[in-house]
Amino acid sequence: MITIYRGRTVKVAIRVNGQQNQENFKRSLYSTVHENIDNIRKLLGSPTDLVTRKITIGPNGPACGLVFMEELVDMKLLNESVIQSIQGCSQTFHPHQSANEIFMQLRDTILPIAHLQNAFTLDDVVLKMLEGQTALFLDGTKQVLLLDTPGWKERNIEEAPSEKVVRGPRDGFIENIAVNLSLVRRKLMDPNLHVRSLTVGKRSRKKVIILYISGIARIELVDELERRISSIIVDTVPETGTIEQWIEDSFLSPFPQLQNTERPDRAVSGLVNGRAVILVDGTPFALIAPVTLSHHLKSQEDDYDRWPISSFLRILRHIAAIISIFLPALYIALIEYHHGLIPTKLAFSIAGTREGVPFPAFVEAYMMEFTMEILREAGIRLPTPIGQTIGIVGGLVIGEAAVQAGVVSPIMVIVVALTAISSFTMPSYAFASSLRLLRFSFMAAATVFGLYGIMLCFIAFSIHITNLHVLGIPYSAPLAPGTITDWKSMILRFPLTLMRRRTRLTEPQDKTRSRRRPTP
Amino acid sequence: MSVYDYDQIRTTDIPIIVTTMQLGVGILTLPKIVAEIMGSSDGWLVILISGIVMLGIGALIGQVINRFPGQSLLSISNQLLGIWITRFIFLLLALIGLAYLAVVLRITGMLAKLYFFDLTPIEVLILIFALVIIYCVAGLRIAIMRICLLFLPIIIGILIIIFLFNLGHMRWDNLEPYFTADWRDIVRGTATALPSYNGIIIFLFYGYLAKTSPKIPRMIMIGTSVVITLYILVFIFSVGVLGLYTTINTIFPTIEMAKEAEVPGGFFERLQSIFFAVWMLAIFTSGVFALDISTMMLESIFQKVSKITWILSLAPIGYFLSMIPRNEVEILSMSSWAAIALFAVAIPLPIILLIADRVKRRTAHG
Repeated sequence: MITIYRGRTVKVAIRVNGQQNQENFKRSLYSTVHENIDNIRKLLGSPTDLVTRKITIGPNGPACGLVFMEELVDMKLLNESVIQSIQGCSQTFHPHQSANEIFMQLRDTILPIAHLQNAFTLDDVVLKMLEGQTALFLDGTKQVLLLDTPGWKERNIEEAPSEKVVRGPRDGFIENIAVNLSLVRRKLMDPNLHVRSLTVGKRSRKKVIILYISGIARIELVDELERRISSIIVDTVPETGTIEQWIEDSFLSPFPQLQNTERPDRAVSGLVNGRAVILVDGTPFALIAPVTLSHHLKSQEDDYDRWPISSFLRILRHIAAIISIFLPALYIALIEYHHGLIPTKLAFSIAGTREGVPFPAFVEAYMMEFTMEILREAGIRLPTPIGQTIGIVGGLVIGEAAVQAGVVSPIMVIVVALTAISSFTMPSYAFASSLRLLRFSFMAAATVFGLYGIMLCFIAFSIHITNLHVLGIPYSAPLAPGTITDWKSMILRFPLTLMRRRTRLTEPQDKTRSRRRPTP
Repeated sequence: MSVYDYDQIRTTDIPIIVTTMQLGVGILTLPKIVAEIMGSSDGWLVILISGIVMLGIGALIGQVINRFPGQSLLSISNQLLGIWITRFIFLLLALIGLAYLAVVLRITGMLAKLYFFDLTPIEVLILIFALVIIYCVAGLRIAIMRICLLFLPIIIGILIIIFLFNLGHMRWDNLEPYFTADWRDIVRGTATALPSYNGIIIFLFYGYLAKTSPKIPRMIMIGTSVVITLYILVFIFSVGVLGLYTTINTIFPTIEMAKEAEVPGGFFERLQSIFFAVWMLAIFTSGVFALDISTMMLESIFQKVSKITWILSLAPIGYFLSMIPRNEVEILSMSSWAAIALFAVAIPLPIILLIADRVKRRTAHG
């Protein structure tokens, strides 16, 4: 087990898979290249991708050894800058120079590498090598030089597939944390953009970064996030989802308590509103904290469109959210229990279409909703261009056939289609998924107690969101507790020129977002 | 661990909370009770006068809260009235809260049976309602305040819809003759209408959650004014739409009035069911307050017993109490007795506290 944690060395304790291997290597550095390389080879279990290269400095000089993992380093950089410059420098050394002096000279004047550092422990050397650095040993000294030469295959920066916009920047995060950080920095050239770095995962040792703007975000927020993240002890952190599930306030809640995004501009807009962004190496998804219900109904595009359009779309999205939760449940309640509430003519036409249907309304509704969910899941698994089409076509065909066969009524197909389409308008995939769960619980309530059940379920839902706190912020904010200034950007989106204050939700230190430059 | 500080009631939220506290079962029967006593449309005058009296009480409640910011009613009362009087009053309040809970449960069950399910046994309907109330009370106290904030727009929204769609059915001659009541009727009517505003006292119990501000009394009064306006409108619309005679002879004239409303576009018929469905939110908050105050009182007298134990032992008692009345008349009389008891015990509380405070300070100085 490697116990270097949170960036500080706890204790040198490298142990490889049980006891019998433990004696093969020594936990120390040697003063000869040969011994060091042997030791590292034993420690790593003689992997095939471990490359060692010995170069002799000058005709009588000491030998130096380069050790690195083959696919993790940039070979071109290593060949052209490191090996060439070591081989070409033999004249610069006096024959009687000590190994330490040569080492210093290599580090300070010869190697053309921007980022290099000394290492003094085997822990340092091995762990850095696994991150793509090259270790340089020199005969006659126990010091090791670590050269930053990472280079591996990477995806290009592409548009974020889960958060597409019509208008707005098209770049999305990728799997490399350094690139992701640079994407944020490119959009926010603020010296106050501060970074806290952590390492999570006792085996995967993933780099995790908390980003925040000092002077806007509350420092307590960053401290608390750091405390929570550093308390995680897991094997691997494959995705931000792992971190999200470890640090969220309530694991019983159906709602996402951290916002995930693939879009740098969304991360930046979170940052300037006093929120913190968590990046994890190896995933294009960043987390934004804290988050409330109202954040999940906002699309980043809302800030780019003009305000009447944005406001209209936001209202539309709220209505869609309500439809996608309540509509099937209302259908069940009205058809099963409260025929009287439907206007007489409509009631007759519904009754007419339902005449041949052998099932009660709730069976019909569950059947169709499950079909819809299955289609949706199938659509995700299929290749991208076909997926959506198959989903929709499948839905239409199945719906049509089910009506023809007299299994469901046409009005049920309308209900299911409207529900599904409404839930697709949600800008956040995680939130849309939790709405799906809610929909089924409302349907269950309606099945048993009709409209009474729906209302009780709604009350229970309200109790839940008012009791749920995300880092101390109630999930129902800014509606309850009411922060009227924040309502400018809740259901409506006011003209940007009127939103001169930052949202009060996160209690930002610098409260002014924008102001008019005084005319001279 | 929380980073942000959201565990206080904001000053601007107080009117909304105070309004929600007062809306509940009372408004459903108010037109009937007032019209019965007054025998004319002058009931609105009575509602207004009793409302103004309650505005005064509201201001006093605000003063008590301002005088002892952040202190629970227990500590205020212990300081001013002594431990034993406090315990006695708290015990009474806990009992009254329980009675209120029973009334709320029973009326909900009754209405749900009336408007939604004629076959489902009322015990089941009440049971699930009580379970949701328990879920709410078991949560945070500040969350209850937030629920008020979430529900009030919906509650007032449905009232406004009912008023708007009833404008066409409003017959102004139903309201005539005006100003016929003599002063004795007005005094008796005021006495009857006063307990409708009982809910205002609830804020005294939750005052310790409020953020310190000199505006608290004003905010309580704003909330109460909204209630007065709604009560007067409900009364006028009931009498105007249903006529005086029907108003007196229906148990829940407010819901009956909602029945008359017609939504243009014909999307909903029988608006009274929708009205009741939404009004469940208001009734629910009353039930929550009843159980929570009972719990709070007993919790502060017997501090060794945990909150959840009290909730789980009080709620079944409330449930069984709600089964006692045999018919609607008994429910209503139980309801009015609970209201009168609360009015007699709790409403004088801010006055007593302020006087005791004055006396105590005077003796301390002298």
